[in-house]
Amino acid sequence: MLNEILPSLSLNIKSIIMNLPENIKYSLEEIRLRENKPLALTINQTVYNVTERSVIKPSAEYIRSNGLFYSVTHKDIENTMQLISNYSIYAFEDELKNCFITIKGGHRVGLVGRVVLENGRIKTQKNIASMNFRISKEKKGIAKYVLPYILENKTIKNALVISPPKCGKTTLLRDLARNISNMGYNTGIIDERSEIAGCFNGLPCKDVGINTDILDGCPKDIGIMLIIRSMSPQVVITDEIGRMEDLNAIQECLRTGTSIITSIHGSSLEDINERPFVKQLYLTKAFDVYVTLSSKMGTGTLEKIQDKNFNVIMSGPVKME
Amino acid sequence: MILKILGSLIVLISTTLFGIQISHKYRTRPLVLSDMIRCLEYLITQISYGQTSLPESFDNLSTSQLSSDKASFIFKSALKILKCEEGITIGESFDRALDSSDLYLNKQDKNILKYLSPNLGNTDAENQIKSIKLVIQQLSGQLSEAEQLRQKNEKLFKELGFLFGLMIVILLI
Repeated sequence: MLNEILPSLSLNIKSIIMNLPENIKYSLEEIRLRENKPLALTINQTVYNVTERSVIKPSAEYIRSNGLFYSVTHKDIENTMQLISNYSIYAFEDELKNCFITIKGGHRVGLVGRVVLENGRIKTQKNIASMNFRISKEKKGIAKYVLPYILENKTIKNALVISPPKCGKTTLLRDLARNISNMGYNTGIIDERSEIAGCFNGLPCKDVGINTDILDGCPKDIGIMLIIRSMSPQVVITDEIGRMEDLNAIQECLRTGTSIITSIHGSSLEDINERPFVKQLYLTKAFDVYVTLSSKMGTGTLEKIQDKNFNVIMSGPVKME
Repeated sequence: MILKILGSLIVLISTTLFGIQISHKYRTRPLVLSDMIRCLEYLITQISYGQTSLPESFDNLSTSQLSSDKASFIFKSALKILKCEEGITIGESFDRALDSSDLYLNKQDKNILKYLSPNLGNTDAENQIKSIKLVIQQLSGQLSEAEQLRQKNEKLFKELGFLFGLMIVILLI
């Protein structure tokens, strides 16, 4: 997986990452580049800094270490920007507006710098100063913890995955898609950020099953109806709902009798229920199953599963592996 | 006597060739400049309509029959440098390709082209097009100047070479 990211990194950083010990390379979650700041790696939810010789130390010790660590230069950022955009940033204007680019393999690279506004809307970004490579992991088989609650009597229930960022939400959705698809259900994925299937030139880089159609890069509210009309899937899978437009699309989807599995940012059902958006969903009883994730036992901890009346039908925490 | 004739022939031929070479320079520069302008215009369409990436557009440029080899050669060699050397930006490789090639362009022409390199691929489409257009505008100025020079000097140097040789021969004899 790391091999897909290496070609996008500038020369110095690439060699540092390549020389890391194998076990660290394997458990690497993020690579963060901040101009004139030490290179930061996230491993098991802890931030580390790294020296030029690829020795890592927890970032909390940085202040005491008087500048021993590799500091990211302007040139590093510039080179990396050119590499991830294939030397053509102009071809990624929409991505810059949304603050991230998805590179080959479905890895998301977050980019922030100075925003340029036009008529109160973001026109583009310049002077990118921070980049975050999020290494997306494929964990085949984790759906088995959740699937029995979603699939009942050969019907797919509508499910909402609730999770704070970085707890394995997309990974779970991907594995659910793969399993449901391989059981012989036509599955449609609306992959607004090219993360679930990691499409590159229209073809998925991740295994999302044999009966899966992917509408790549399409906004969810439009995409849900489009894929139902065009491909008539039995279940629609999409990531990170949260806007009012999405709500209408979900209700429209349920009216057509198509099941939906999706996710939302939040720490628990009770927490997100405060938001008017979710309250609406609850009132209309849109979802049959609520799955809550956390990072209590590391990335990918299943906290609990609740039914449509919020009764807990499975309680964790269980680490999904 | 034969030696004298042979010697003067050699002098005559060599000065004539020298003159031709200089006039060739004057003839080729406007050709290369207009080819270059055409290449840059092609880049603009690639950027604005297709949003094609720069390496791909460079490749298209060097394979298309759009311009003579002389101008598109730059893009080809920039692409080669880019592929061979890790950690180089596309602007730097373009710069280096300009420096290393003999293009019948003078220093000023090259400096104008180098305006492109710091921004190449680093900004949004609007800015890319703006800076390319600026360069085209300035190159057009250079082109009309080169054209005038050609009209003035192309024939002149060709004849001058011959006449100069003739003068030497007459003086020596």
